[in-house]
Amino acid sequence: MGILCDINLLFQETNMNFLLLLGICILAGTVGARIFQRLKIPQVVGYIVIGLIIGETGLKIISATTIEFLRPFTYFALGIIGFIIGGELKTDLFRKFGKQFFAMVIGEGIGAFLIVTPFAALFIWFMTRNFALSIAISIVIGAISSATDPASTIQVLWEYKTRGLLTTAVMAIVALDDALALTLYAFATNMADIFIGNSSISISHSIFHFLYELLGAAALGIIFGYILKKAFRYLNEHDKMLPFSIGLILVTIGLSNVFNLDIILSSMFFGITTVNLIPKRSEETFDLVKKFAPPIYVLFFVFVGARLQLSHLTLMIIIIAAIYLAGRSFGKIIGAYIGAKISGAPDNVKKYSGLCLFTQGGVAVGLSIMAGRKFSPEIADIIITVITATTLVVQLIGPSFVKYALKEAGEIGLNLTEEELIACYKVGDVMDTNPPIIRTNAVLGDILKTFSKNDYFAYPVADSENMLAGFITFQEVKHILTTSGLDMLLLAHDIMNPIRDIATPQTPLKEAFEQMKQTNANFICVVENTQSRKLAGFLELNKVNMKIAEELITRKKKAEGIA
Amino acid sequence: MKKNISHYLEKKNILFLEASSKKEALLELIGALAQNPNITDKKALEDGIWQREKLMSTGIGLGLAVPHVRIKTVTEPIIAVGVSRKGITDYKSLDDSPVKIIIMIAAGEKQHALYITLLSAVTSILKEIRLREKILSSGSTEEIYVTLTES
Repeated sequence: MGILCDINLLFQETNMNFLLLLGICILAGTVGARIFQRLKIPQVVGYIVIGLIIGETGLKIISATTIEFLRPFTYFALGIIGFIIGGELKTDLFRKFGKQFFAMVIGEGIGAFLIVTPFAALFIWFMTRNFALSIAISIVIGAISSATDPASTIQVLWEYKTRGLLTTAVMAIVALDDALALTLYAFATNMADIFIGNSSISISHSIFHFLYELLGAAALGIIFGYILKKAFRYLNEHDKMLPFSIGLILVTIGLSNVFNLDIILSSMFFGITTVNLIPKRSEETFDLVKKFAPPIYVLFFVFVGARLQLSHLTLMIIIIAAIYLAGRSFGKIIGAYIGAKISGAPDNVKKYSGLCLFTQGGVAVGLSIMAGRKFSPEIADIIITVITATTLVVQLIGPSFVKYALKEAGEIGLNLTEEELIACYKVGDVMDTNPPIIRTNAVLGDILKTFSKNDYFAYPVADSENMLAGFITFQEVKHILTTSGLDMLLLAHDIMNPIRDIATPQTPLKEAFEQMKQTNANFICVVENTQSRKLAGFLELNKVNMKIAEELITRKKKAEGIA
Repeated sequence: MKKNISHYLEKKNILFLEASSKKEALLELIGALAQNPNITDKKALEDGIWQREKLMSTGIGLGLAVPHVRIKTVTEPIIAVGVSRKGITDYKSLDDSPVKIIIMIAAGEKQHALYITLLSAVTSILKEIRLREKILSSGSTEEIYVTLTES
């Protein structure tokens, strides 16, 4: 522990060491994510677990003070996430699915609120026999339970390259339910005030506060969207586009803090305005920001884990947390289902969207802290610890539910680019397993017959046991056609080229492509394994490219078909 | 084309074969070729020749055989000629006639076009009965060389 204390001091003393800390967090987070990815668990869980290990709950390498000091990084990440989510929300999407999104957000949010509140109240009343206290606590945590964490949910969508109606619906719901959570929270704290006899703040004040947050965030986002649009006239190069966009995101975050606005909401409005004002030109900007963002996300999620403090856990709090978790999950599933059904959403959306809404993060924790400041320590402690403990649980299990739901809905991998699709494949997945083979003892007539019947650029030459001997292209045949008298003298064996490159079915397709590029070939012979020369297949570049193009179109159609 | 053959054929690579079997005859010619700097690996040449014969006999009929090979260990195309007056009966030619003239051609792996051209040139010359008879009645390798290169 002595060493750990020293490390903690090392990080706290000078600004220089913050850089060291940031570096370690990013590196450790990335390693953690890789390990979890291998276990087929979404990467975001890996970041959070690393945070838990080095944070307040674990080794305490990062203290609460340090995290507080690094809060701007968290804001930065939230701003970027908000901006990118906004970029996914085009107005035609709302025109098409607006009713559905609205019904589902109301359904899942109110669903969680209506189930968590009475059950938690019943239990707390049973334990404390204090009606006012039980209502106050449960109505506040009920309201908070409606919030979903867009950050980790969307991370999972991005990691698994999902596309389709469920993906679109989940993205919109997690983006929009912050607003619902803020509304419910305003209502809930007022009700709680009434019950515990602390009605210094009126309902109208709360409503005003909610409207201020929502409209303020919208105004800020819209203004910066217009600024970015104007600036785009003068910014054409990547090295200017990216810094200017990031600069505007930072200013949006900074001003949100100055005016006490929700960072995700205002940067989301910034993203929405941008994507709808300049849909084509902003595509590149969103791509650039997405590429720039990963280290910031890693830090953000590592800090989420590091910040979680579970020192105040009592049996009562554990049971409230369990009721909260069960009620919230059930409420979200049922609520989202009802919302989807009323709005006529397709089956996949009805069945699976609730499962994608378990994560909770910044907004929930933030609201619990706000509630903590508002109420007496007795109530505050319970609210903050319940939300912290449940955030930990849902952040660890939520992403896996998102993955499961999207897998069941068949939307994983439908948003791959050509490069990403190539990276997914092995040679065995796309090779021609039954290519026309020219036998080593084939005479000229047979060779010409093979060429005339098929449309390959090259043909593998193999003996009767299918052992690969070489290949023949049209180039070799062309030479023979200009000579005479060789019909009975030449066999495939005489004119074939020796093997240059070979691959096995297990070779990654990307590697085979690079091999072909290096040797300037547009095909590669595939053998069973590196020790054997037994022909397993044949891979011709233009045929594979066609297969990949077809697959991309199929996936797109599938996503659109689902949509 | 005659110029081409003379470019790849040397008098010392023309032999009157003593051998009476296909194997011995081909070994004699391989031995002759292996003396040339163009052939860097005799074993590879021998393996190449046998492998090709295994696939199909290079005896193309009319008493002619054209064993040929294209392998890495040949630097420049080279030709050897073997004449057997009594004929080699176990060559398994297309027309089952004994082989009396064997022309062995070895070329490098990347000399595909030249290799095909040489094969074509040699077979078209020897399909002429007059030239075949002239070669078989020659008393010296010099005469055979002249027939093949200047006829």
